Formats: sequence, C-alpha cells, structure tokens
Amino acid sequence: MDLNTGSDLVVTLAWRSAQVAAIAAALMLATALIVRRYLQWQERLHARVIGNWRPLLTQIAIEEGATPELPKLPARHLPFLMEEWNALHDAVRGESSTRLNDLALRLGFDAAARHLMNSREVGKQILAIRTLGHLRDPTAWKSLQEQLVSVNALVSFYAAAALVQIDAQRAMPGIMLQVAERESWPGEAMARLLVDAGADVAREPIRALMLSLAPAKVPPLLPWLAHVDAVLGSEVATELLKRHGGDDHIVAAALLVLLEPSVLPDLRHYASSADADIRKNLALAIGHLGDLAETELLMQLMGDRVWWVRYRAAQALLKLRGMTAEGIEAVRARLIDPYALDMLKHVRAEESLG
Amino acid sequence: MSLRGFLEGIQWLFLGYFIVLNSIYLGLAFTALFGLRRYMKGISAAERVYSHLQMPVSLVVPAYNESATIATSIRALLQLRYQHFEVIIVNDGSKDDTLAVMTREFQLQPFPEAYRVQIKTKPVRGVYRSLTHPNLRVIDKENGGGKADATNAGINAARHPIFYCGDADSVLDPHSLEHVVRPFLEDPRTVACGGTVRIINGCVVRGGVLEKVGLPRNPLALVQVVEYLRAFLGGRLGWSAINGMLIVSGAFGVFHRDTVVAAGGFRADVIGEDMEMTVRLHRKLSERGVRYRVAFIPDPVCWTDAPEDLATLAKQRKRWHRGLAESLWENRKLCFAKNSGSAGWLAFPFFVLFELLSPVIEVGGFLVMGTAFAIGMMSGTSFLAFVAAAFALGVMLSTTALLLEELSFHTYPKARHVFALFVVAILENFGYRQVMSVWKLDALYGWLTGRRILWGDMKRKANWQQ
Repeated sequence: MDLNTGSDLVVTLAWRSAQVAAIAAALMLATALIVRRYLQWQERLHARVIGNWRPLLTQIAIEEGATPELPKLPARHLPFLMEEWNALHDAVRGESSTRLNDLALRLGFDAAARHLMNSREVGKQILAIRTLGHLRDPTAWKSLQEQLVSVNALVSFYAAAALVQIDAQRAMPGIMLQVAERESWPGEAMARLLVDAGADVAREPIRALMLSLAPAKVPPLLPWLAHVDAVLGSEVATELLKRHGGDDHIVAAALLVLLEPSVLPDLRHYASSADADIRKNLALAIGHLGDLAETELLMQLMGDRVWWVRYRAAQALLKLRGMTAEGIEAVRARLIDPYALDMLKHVRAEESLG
Repeated sequence: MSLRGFLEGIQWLFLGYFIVLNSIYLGLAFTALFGLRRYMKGISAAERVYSHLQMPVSLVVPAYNESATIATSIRALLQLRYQHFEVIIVNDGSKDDTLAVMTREFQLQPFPEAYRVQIKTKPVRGVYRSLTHPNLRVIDKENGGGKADATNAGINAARHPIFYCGDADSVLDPHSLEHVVRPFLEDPRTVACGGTVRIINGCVVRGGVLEKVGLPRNPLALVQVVEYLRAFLGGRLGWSAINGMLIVSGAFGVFHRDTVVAAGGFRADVIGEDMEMTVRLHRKLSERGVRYRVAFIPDPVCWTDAPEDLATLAKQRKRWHRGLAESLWENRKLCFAKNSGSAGWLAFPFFVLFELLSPVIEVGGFLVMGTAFAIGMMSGTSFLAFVAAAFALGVMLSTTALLLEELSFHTYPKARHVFALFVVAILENFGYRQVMSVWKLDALYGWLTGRRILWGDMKRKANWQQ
C-alpha cells in the first residue's frame, strides 16, 4: 500500500510556507538591524546638533546683543534644532523670547514650520504648531485654525495654545467652541492654556460658555475653571446650583469649587441626597467653609453608609472653624454610631501622624 | 476512510492549523506595528500635555514569606517617579518575619484604620502605617485564599480610583505609573490597563531599581525573553488595538477600583486570577451594555524574574495553562455574546482554539506524523516539510516581535543581543516549544479530570539583585 504523500499538494504547500516564512524572518532580522543602525545614527546626529547649538541658543537667550557665529544648518539638523529651540522657548519670557524669535527667523524656522505642518507625522505637525505659536506668526492663523478642529486631540490642543500665543482675544471664540464640543482635551492642560491667555481675556468667555453649556458637559469642566480663576469658578458654581440644583453631577462638581460660606445654609439639604458623591462633596465643602454650626450635620454624615462620606465628614469636623480638641472630645462622647466612632478615631490618628 | 485519506486529513489539519494560527498572530503583529508607530510618534507630545496630570494610584502588593526581599521591594516602590500614590502591602499571614522586617525598616505603627469590607476576605488582623513614609500602609491578614484574597484585602483598603496590583519580587520602571495612567486619562471608559513585562534575569538591579539591561546566560531564561517579547509586543498590543485583550498580567496590571469591586474582586478559587478577572470584566461589562476599554501600553513597565530550571518552569506553565482553561470556562458566556464585541467574537474563540487547545493539535500532530514517518507510512520529505513549516512560521513570528522591539523601545543595547535573540528564536523550536506543549497538555488533562494543582515553591535565583 502506497501511503507516501511526499508529492502531494499539501506537502508542496508546507515547503512553500516554510520557505516564505524563513525568507520573511531573515528580512525582518535584517530590517531590525538596519533600524538599529539608523536609530543609532539619528541619536548621534541629535547629540551633535544639541552639542553645537545649545550653548549658542542659551547665549542668545540670556545675553543682550549676543551675535555668536552660527554653524551651518543642514536640513536634516533642522527638526532637532527646532525641538531644542521650542524647549528653551517654553522656559523663557520677554526679551529672551524676542531674541530667540529673531534667530529663528534668520534660520528660516517659519518657512520650515509651515512645511512641517503638512507632514503626516503627528510629532512633526505638533513641532510645527509649537514653533509657529512661539514665533507669534500671524500669517499662520488660518492654518492653525484648521488644526484647531483636527480629530487628533493633541494636535488640536497645541493649535489652541499657538493661537492663544498669537492673539488670545481673537482665539477665544474658536477655543471656547472646542471646549464645548470636545471631551478629549485634558482638563488641567486646558486650564493652564486659559491661564496663559490671561484671566481678563478668558474670564467672560468662560463664564458665558459655562452657563450656556449642556448640563452634561459642565461637571468635568468646572474643576478646571476653578484652576483658572477660583473666584469665577465659585460664582459660576453658585449660579449653576441655582439653575441645575436637581442635576446630581452638576451639584457634585459645584460643591467642590465653592468659596462663599454664605451659601452653606442652602446646601444642607444635600446631606440626604441619594448620590454618595454629593454627600461626600458636601462634607468637603463644609470642611472648607463651615464653622461649629455645621457640627450636627457632619455628625450625621459620619454615620453614612459610604466609607468616603464618613471619611470626608470626619476630616471636615476636625477642620471646622472654631473646632478645638475639647470640642472633638465632646463630639466623640456624643457619637453612638460605631462606624462614626471608628472613622473619628481613624482621622484623628491620621492627623496625629501628619 | 482509508488510512491514506486519514493521514492526508491530518496533514491538512496540521498545516492549516499552523498557517491560520501564524496568520492571525502575524495579523496581530501588524496591527501592533501600526499601533506602536502611532504610539511612539505621539508619545513625546502626549507626555508634555499630560506631564502635570497624575491620577492618584494605589499600589497593592501582596507579600507572603518575603522577609529577605520585602524591604528592597518597598523601597523600590516608594522611589517611583510619581506624585500621587499610596503603597499598600498585604502581609498574607507570612510564617517568617516579613511583618517584623517591615515594622523595623519603615517604622510601622498600628493604625486604627476604619477598614471597609467591600470584598469579603480572610480576616484582617491589623493595619499599620509607616512613620517615615506617610503613603505606606501594611494590611496584616490571615493566610488563605492566595494572592487573590490578599489583593482583595488591599483593594478594600485602597483609597484611590485606580489600583496597581503586582508581585513583590517584580521591579517596576521608575516611570511606569506615568505611562500606565495615561489610558485612564485619555479615555475615561478604561477599566484596566496592562503593560509590557520583561525578563529581569541578566540585568543589574541595585536598590530595587533597574540599572543595566542585559540578557541572561541561562538558556531557559533566554528563551523566555523571546517568548515575552512575542507575547507582549505582538499578541497583547494587537488585541488591545481592537479591545480584545483577555489578559492583564498578574505581574503588572492597573484596574479601575470601583469596577473591580462591582465585579466581586479577584476570585480566590481559580488559578489564574489575573486572567479570570480580565475576562470577567469583559463579560460583566458587555452583559450590562457598558462601553469600556481594556488597554495595553507597550512601554516596558515591569521586569520579572524568569524560572531558570525546568521543574519551576513546568510548574509555572502548567499553572498558567490551567488558569487559562478556568478563566475561559468560568466566563464561557462571553463567547459570541451580544454586545461582547471583539472580546467575545474574536479573542475568546481564538483563545479557545489556538491557545487552550493548541497543545492537543501540536502534540497530536507531531505524534501522528512522527509515528507515520517512523513506520514508513510517510516519506521523509513530507515529514520534513511539515516540521520545517511549523518551525519556520514560529521563527518568523518571534522575529516579528524582535522587529517590533527594535522599531519601538530597542531596550537591549547591543546588536549582538538582537542576534542572540534571533538565534534563540530558531533554537527554541528544537525541543523547548514541544516540551511546553506537553506541559500544557498535562495541565489541560489535569483540569479536565479535576486533578488538584499544587503551588509548591517557586525557585528564584534573583542573582540580578545587588
């Protein structure tokens, strides 16, 4: 019986698979080694460019009237130098910034950045956007506005920052529209951007935006608004509590940014909210703003079924204006809920350890 | 069916299986390649924007009889470059003086913690807080329930929205937390995130911090370097791109605390609690119609000690395969479930066919063809063709992982390291992979017959520690 299947299609296919796989493996190894050499070459080039240019950039930034002799700048060195220039620019202000810009214009950064803006690589696009922002190049306005609506959150964010650098007032409407529509901009970075724009420029557009946004969009933005301008944050939060007092998410967010103790009496009813975040944040607000009049309410919250509410309430109790060691002892003596007692013990131990 | 027909059928099955398996892996590797390129290009810009954003993280680390290394491990954790984190060490009823060492080294003091039991665990005997490091707490609990139970006790004490769980003997990259919180910041739907785990054997670690990267001299550990590269850079990165990642490694995983609590915490009655948790999260969240993401970051965030002897390696791999079987079986409702997306429709069936049952096909295929060849029913050419195809496809896959590594992190500093790993990728086909398949088959048989699995002691040389 002949069971030798050596010449069958399946065997041929097996041989072919083996050959293709072996060739592919060899090619990939070769690619890996070439990539390694290329990256090493790039690293050396980067180090050389930085080694040559960093002292010159620093000298130009800090010395008025410095005119050091500049080395040749081949096109392949440009992205490394632009990256270094941007990093230094992030750290300087005023005259130094102007001198760095003069140098950049002499080296043709503006034209190079406009060219890089069309790159398909996000990293290069962002480098171009940062450069044009630092150069405060008004001719880049239109292309930066196009990048502001980019689907890539980072590209869009850097475009916003560049537009603020060029003309903060003019940039605000477009940026506010993005703030309202996007969920992908990191809040804290956005707050820094608005701080850079200047409180006077950002204040009213932000207030108008926050009060006109759909309720679902407000809670994630409110903490960052308070970072930009704490007083404005508190004012907007108070207004939002009046308008959307039944929206759990808005109430929970608003409680965290209030600065005005006079609003506390209107907030006490939230202690019986079904939402644990609201009860927890109420305890935090009382801790920041309250005095001994809030003791009973905090004792009630210290018996809450949620650990974090009990924890924040106990912390708030210790922070109340006018609270003394004797006062805490008196509260402890009156507490009958074992959970509340445990929590008071916990936060007092924490406080004693610092 | 004639014997010839049967043999041909087996040959087609064997070849088809290898081609489909490797094509899927290759597809995953290419998906990973594009994901990796995008990730690497955006990383510096993202770092600038997110550098000030630090989501607070609780680091939960169970420890059992680790008095010799626990102080170094904790110091390494406390040195992580991150602002907002707390370290919770769970002493799982150690029989040695682990607790005494921690008390001495970190000036622990009993703390009247208002400990909340959200996930039921073995009783907690006490909570301690460090006087020297306010962000260090130790939960001392009764032994029982393994790493899962200890982790659950740590989760109960954790105060931050996301928690890391890992092993006390793993070494974390100082920037690991910065990297791993990014998916949670970028996408609030993220419920879990894993990172690339690398082999630490052959590296130099001083004071719990990785100082120099190298390759191990021990051949078993060396093969595992290639295995880990293949698994993490090829497989997991590819699966994560389509939200189909079923494993977040027990050595390094970050989870959304409330989601894990709502899912009931880690199960102490399964072997691979890390995988079971990830599959369960997929199942529970898709059952509830919740939109979620299980993410993976390719950065080498964690370095772990690989077994250097066959007995320890066998125990580890049998445990892993048993864990895979349990995780898939316990969460079988995920398979082809409504709303389960890539996890239920692609990853789950793939893991059943090409991971869980792979030893049956591989060992079976080799046995049938080897026997046919030995008794003269199959020509040498045919036999060689199949063996060559299986080996070459395996080598190609490993080389893809090496290429991915070179295109991204190029962690291994010298070109000879790449050559060495390529040679290992070839040599592992001569014995190592077959032995793995046999161990996996044994684990599968053990699971099917309900054989008890004994943990035994994991022998670790840890000669990289200085």
